[in-house]
Amino acid sequence: MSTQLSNTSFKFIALGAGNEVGRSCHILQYKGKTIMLDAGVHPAYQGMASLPFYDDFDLSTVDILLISHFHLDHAASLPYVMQRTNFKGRVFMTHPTKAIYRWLLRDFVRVTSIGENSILDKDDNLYTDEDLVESFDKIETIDYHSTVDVNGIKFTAFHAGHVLGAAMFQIEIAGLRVLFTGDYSRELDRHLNSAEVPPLPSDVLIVESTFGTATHEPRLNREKKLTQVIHSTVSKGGRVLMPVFALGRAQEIMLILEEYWTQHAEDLGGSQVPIYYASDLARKCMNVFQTYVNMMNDDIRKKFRDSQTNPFIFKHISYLKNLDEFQDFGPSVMLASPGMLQSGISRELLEKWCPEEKNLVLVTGYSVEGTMAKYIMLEPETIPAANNPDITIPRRCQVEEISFAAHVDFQENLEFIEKINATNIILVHGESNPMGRLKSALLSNFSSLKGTPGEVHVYNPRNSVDVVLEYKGIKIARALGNIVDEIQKDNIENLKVEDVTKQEAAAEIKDANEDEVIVSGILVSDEKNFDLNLVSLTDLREHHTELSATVLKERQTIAVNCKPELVYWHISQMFGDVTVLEDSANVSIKPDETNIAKKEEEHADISDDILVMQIMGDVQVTVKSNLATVEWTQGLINDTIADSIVAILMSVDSAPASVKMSSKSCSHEHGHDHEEGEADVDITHASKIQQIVKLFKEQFGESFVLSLEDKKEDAKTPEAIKGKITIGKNIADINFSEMRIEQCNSNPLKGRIESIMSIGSDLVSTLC
Amino acid sequence: MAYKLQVLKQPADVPVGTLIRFETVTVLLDPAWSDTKVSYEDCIKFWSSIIPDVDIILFSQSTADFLGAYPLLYNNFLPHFITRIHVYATLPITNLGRVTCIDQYTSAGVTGPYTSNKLDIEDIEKAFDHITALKYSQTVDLRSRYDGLSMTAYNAGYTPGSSIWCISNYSEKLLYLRNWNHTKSTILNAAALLDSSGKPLSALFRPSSVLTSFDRFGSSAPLKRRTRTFNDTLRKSLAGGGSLIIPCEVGGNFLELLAMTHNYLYEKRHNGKYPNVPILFVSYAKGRTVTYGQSMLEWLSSVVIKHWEGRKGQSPFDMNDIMKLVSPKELAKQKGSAICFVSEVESCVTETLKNMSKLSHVTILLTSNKKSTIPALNDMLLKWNENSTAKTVEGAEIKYTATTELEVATLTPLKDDTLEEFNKTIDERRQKRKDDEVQLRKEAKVANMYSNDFQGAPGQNQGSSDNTGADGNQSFVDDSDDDDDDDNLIDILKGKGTKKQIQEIPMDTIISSNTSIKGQTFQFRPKKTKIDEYGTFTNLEQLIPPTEDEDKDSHSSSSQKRSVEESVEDMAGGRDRGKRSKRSKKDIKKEKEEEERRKQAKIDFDSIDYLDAKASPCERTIQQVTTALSCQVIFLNLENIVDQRSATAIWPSMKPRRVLLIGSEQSQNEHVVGVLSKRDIDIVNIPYNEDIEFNTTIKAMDISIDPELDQLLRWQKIGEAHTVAHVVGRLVKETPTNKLTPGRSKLVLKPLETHSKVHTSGTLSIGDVRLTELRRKLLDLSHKAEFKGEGTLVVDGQVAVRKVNDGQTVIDGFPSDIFDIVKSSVTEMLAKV
Repeated sequence: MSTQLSNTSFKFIALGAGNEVGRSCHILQYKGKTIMLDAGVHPAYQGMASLPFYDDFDLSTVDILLISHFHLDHAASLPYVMQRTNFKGRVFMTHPTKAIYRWLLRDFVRVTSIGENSILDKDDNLYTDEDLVESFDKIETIDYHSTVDVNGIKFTAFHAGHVLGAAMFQIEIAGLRVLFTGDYSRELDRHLNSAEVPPLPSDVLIVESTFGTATHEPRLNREKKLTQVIHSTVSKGGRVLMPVFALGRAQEIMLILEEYWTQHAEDLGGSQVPIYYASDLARKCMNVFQTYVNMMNDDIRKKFRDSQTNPFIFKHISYLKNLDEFQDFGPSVMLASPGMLQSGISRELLEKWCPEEKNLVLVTGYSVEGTMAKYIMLEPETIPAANNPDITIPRRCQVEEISFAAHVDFQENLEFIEKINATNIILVHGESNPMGRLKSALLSNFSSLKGTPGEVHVYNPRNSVDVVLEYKGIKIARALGNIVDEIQKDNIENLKVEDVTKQEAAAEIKDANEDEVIVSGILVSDEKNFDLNLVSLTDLREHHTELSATVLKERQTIAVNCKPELVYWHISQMFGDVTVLEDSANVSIKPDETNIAKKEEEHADISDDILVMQIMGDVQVTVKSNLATVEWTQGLINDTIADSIVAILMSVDSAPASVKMSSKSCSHEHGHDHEEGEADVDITHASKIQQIVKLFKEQFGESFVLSLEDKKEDAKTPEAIKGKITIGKNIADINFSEMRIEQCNSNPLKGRIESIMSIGSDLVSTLC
Repeated sequence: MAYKLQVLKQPADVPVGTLIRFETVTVLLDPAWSDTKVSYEDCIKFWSSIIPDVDIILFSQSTADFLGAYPLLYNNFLPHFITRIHVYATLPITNLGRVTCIDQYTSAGVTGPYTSNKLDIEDIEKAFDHITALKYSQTVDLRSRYDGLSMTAYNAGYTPGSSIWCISNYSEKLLYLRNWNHTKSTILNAAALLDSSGKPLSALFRPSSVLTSFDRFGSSAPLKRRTRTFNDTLRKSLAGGGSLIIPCEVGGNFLELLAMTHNYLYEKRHNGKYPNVPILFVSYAKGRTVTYGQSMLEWLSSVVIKHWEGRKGQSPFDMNDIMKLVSPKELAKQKGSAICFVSEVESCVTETLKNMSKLSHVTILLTSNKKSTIPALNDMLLKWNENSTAKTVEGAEIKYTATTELEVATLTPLKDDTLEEFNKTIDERRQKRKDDEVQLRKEAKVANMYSNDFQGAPGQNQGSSDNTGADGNQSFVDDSDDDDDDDNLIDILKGKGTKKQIQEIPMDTIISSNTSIKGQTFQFRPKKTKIDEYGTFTNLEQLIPPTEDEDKDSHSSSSQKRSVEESVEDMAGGRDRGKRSKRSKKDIKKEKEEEERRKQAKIDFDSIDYLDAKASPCERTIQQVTTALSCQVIFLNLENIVDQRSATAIWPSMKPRRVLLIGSEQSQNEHVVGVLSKRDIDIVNIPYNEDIEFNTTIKAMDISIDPELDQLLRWQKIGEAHTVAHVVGRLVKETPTNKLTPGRSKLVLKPLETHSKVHTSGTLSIGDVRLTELRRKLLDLSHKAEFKGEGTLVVDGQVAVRKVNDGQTVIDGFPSDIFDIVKSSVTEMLAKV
């Protein structure tokens, strides 16, 4: 675990939406926690191909999955993740997201299974209705601004604009804050809050880059353009098809149209031009909008007091469940889903209306590459029919694009990024080129910070490529209980936390160093939620009931055959600090020989003498009837002491010193000890020389002559032992007593002798 | 840091608010007004000495005894509110509180089309618009402004939005909770004191003080049994054409009772057994409570939502079809059995009782043991209690006959001169209020510029939104509201538009026939881009659109108009074609009418325009009417309040340092007080209207760990969830080095320069030795480990491991390899310090 705590790297992987728009899915990892953001599909692909790259990551490790909003490219693979993979985490989304998601995905299952059955295997469906129902109940809901804590991962949802229920998530793990914007909008809207800047700063910002460096027209102009182009089309008797996502921006456009229709009733011939909202989800979805009024912007929320003030009860807009009940006479305005004209009602209408010149297709959303909505904007001569790609339908109708996609443009994005002020920015959810342009634009913008601690790093990772960031936060521990008392007792005045004003600041720094308290305590870190507490050892239990202090005692028993006093003697020889706790045989009384002997006799036949000693404070040795028990509390020093005591006890029976101690013949005269000693030294010296001489004899044979003859006269003075080597002309005299070569006329010989002498001396005189 | 506490009281023996005074800030909690006991004028007088000190008002519940005084305070002390006082409550409280006050004030004749009128409905609405609506666990962070003050609301489980307030500053953590419920109710989640596993929520654990009262406890019967009894009561009282009257507080458990009733009726109807029994509702605010209920699904327990989604995607409050809003007089016209909810305000209830005699077989269901402010209901509860013997359980019915004096308001419509005069005074008053407010806001705006730092927290852009609110309210015709606000929107957009102008974004390249082949193939001729070390060099100026001509815009719109005129003929042609399908158009028309009708019904359901002061104003006189009441009375405690036993169990587990009791000493439950005192919890009764000072003993402080010291720490893992490290360091105070932004000084723990004091005896290990786990470990190492008597684990017959007591473990054996193995296995489980 210690490695995990010191692990300061934050890892980001995009399983989808890295350098692309669609299949949003990102993984964050920090301190052993894994968070997954979004689980979408790619609208331009079908089946498995539309999924994010789930194979590249072990989904079973994910702790929580946060869904930013209900759009298919952010949420549609959620049932797949929950039912068809080994994902075990918890899933969170906002209340409206969940309410809408339910209808949207049911539709998605239906649409995909109709569209593809003819070509592909039935099994190719990502999931079934049952999967959807089963997974739906497991989704947990959160409210904006409420902070949720799941095993140490704290996250808060903030309004993101974009669509109803869209959330930005600020995620905090052990002090590191990551802000994931999802799709967001900073524009003032009729019904939504624009994206908020969270009150707390963020270290890492994961931000969408859909529009790259492009800029929007101001909203007012777009609105005007929208109403004008619609107005002129219907006044010429044309029909307006607006492919929209059933939910989200459609409602904003409906609010605009409703308002325009109310204000221009006369111009429009007394509201004779109907507006339809065609989606099989229409009414259900509107219910959701009528319900979650409180999740919209303050303007709407404050106005909402009763049904009268509910803005989602429209006067001019009728709902169409499908085209069967639609009477296509004369001009009309039709908001139809799906938004990218891939299939369904909007495609059907497109094919029906596109050959007529006065009709208009008005694209208001963001269109993904590869979809019909994107294709039609190129104003092709013909379009392929959805049911049979071989049939082509001529296109003569007008095509307009007025973007109401609630994504930030460059200016808004830059402004937001500057407000967040994160040093690491990860770009996601954008086609490669706009994203690259945004990156370089951001870097240019922040180039002044280069080289400073506030340097901004921008990443635009591709799918499945890691971004690893190092993050070192300052740990803040919360001191609890007694330890606080201790600190304050010592230094209550100086250490009292207070606000320091500018003037005081300088002075305070000076004496800061003087006011210090030595603190000793235990830092307890909860691995689940990264709370760091500082408590004193004594009330550890009080604050962390799950942590108890344990005293670990060890006891070893050894058979000892000798008398307790011997044990005592050995131990007191070894350790200075020996306290006798119990001593029934009085062995510990100063070794007075006669006394011991006396006691010996007296107690010779009593075998249950007890000797209890405490050694070095904490190790207790009990010797009782041939058994010695060593008992100690575990600890570094105690363990070592105990080990050596055990070693002593094991050898106490056979140690020579014991024999010496226990044999009584040792009390004789030692008067000539000294002389004997000296002689001993001489003897050993001579014998050593003898051995070296032997070595020489072995080496040189006949050529070596030991000259001992000269010293016979004077035996008392230890004269030099000398030898002579004669090899041809070369003669060497060696003084063995001094271990040196007295004279030698050949260098090679001299070298050889020297080495033999050194070897010899090594051999004979071991470490002395 | 010391704080002072004061529980406020007006004549009656009930608290009407709690004041907490910290050094720099005063917080007022739950200002109430009991309209039956204290007159409007007295109430203003009482608060006039208190409000000038108040900085923050918090509400914890949406019933009259928790926020009844608020609209009165807001409108009479407007300058304080606009310039200084911030009000916080959860969103359901702002919604339901509004309804509560409309009912209460109308009942008292303070608002509504009466001559006694003091406030307009709009004034009440404005008061509640002033509240900053919060979510649960959304922290109001005022640390920079008020000495570290932050406040967070947690679910109290009593009514939708009811809150436990956790008020904390650097040294104190106060919990304020009056009514709370530890179990799930029909529509609500349990109080957030305990988490799902039953452990105290860490955010609320170990409060320095708890402000609560032990005067009311709920029924000890589980919810299931109470629901069953409730259903039985419904069945019994409706049998044979009887009717049931349920008086309840609209901001209290009305929604809960409604959901229970709806549930019952739905199931009955689903089984086809029951004729349609209408739900009648008597409330001045009409169906607003239900409308709000529909829009607050996110505050209810997810189980309820799921349950009702299974029923054709309805919510428990989708009942426009079966619910009828009636006035007490219309009640008499009701034929057949009905379930009638009556808003528990005096005039609603007395009127209902007066008209009750016209209904047959009336049963009155009392759902709360709270002393009602309405004497008649109080009397019934008293009688029930008298009649009940030891055997009678809740839900039993008694026969009630009494002759009571009811105070009934009689209304005489104003005519001619008096009417004109009245209208004039109302107009004058409105105009004056509006002028005052505009003036005050202007002043406040200037003041606010200095306190902009305060606006940082989410949902606090109060100032600006208030302004739009004020403008929007200038006229009282609702239709114009929309226009006003849209104009605002457009104004804002225009403001933005001057900065940000139209830009023509070239979308396509035009390939003319005379372009070269190369040009056709490569439609884009990229310019040479400058590249610096960051990539492409970007000139930010390029990305910002150039300014645009205003004139052009207006011109284009006028030309557009002309084209519209021209094309009117086309439109007519289109209409002609439409005629061909007359029949189907009729159908559509019919459908449209139906839809229209439904929309209108929906609007009528909760419209309270009739309460506007100028809508047929009346003279309101109170008369004593003697009425003979004869009915069945049933008492069944259906309030979501914690029962006594659970409270005594939960409080000690929260480990509060001190419990402060609000309300008189006599009203507190002695048993609970006794149990808690035994657990060493300091219990203090707060006398009324007296400042009690509490000194803080700081028991917690934040210390940052110097990174250098952090490197030195040796972390050891214990169990699954914790790591511990022994730390020795010197604590120093560090002041922020950046002098431009003076922040708080902080305590930093730094490593010791000399390591003299680092040495510790090291005899204590942290962690727990689990013998079973040890056994498993040893078995894995292919040792024979078995338990032999008294929890001793014997390994290979040589080493014994024994737990002497909780904190001591002994390893016993001969010196051998196996001893070392066992020893190291045990040591692994522990961390040394």
